[in-house]
Amino acid sequence: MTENSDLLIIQKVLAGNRHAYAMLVDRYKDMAVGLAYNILLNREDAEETAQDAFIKAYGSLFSYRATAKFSTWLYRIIVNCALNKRKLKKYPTISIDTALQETLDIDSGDTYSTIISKTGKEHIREALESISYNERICISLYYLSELSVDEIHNVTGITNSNIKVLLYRGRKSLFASLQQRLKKEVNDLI
Amino acid sequence: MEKEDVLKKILESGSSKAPADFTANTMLAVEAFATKPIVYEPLVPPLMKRIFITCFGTVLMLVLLAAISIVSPEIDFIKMLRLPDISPETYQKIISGIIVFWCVFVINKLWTKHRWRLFAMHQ
Repeated sequence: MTENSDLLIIQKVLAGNRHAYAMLVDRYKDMAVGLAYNILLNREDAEETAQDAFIKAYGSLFSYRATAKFSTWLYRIIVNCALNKRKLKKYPTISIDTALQETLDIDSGDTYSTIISKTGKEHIREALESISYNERICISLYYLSELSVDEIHNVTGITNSNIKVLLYRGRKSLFASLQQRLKKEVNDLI
Repeated sequence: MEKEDVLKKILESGSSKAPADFTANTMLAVEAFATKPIVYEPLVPPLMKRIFITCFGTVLMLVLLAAISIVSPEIDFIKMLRLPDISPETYQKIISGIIVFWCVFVINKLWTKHRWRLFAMHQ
């Protein structure tokens, strides 16, 4: 249903009705910002990236073929824009040793009060930060955008077997990291 | 609840949502993009282009002049080269081999290029 209506909107936009594009933006804005946020882990950058992706998608709408879902096509643009943004901005990287030390600090009682005072969202961001970019992209596309492995392959170009490995590894370390940070919430949910 | 569902729920709660004015701002940017006249900036500035053309022309003229004025020395080893004495059938096989190679190469290139599209159509 959504696919059909997406196509109708695209046809309208291509016919010259520029305002019809607002419906597509409205439909996919949360998904776009959410996905960009999970890659960049910065709200302002995520919003900017999502906007860039929508403008790029508008500019290339004539090249869109209905053989793939519009959302899949848009995901690909968002992932590319986010990766370009990351390259341009040169996000600070954290060494494995430092990350490990931080994890150990969390376990120790000294910093317990500091951790408790942080919000849940921050913990999730930190947990996402502890896994690699590719793992983060695959996890976001799989869990948030609910794409299949084949669809993730179409979006990212990573091979299916590699995606499965990334999902397995990412899921494992992310869950462990979340359990450390949000012990109570995770246990409540389980 | 399954581990997978827990992860999904936590990720959803930690994910960022678009602000209320996102659509309006994006549409303003789209409007600006759509109404902006397309101006293609040349990769090479006009002055540089003129210099390159002049240099190219000069080099070409010099090479032509040199080719006319310089008497080429005798190159004996070329005369000494002998092509292998093979039958016309062998030559035919070699040429067929080359043609088949390029045909398969082109088909492979086209297949690789359109594989995803064909795959999507079968889905």
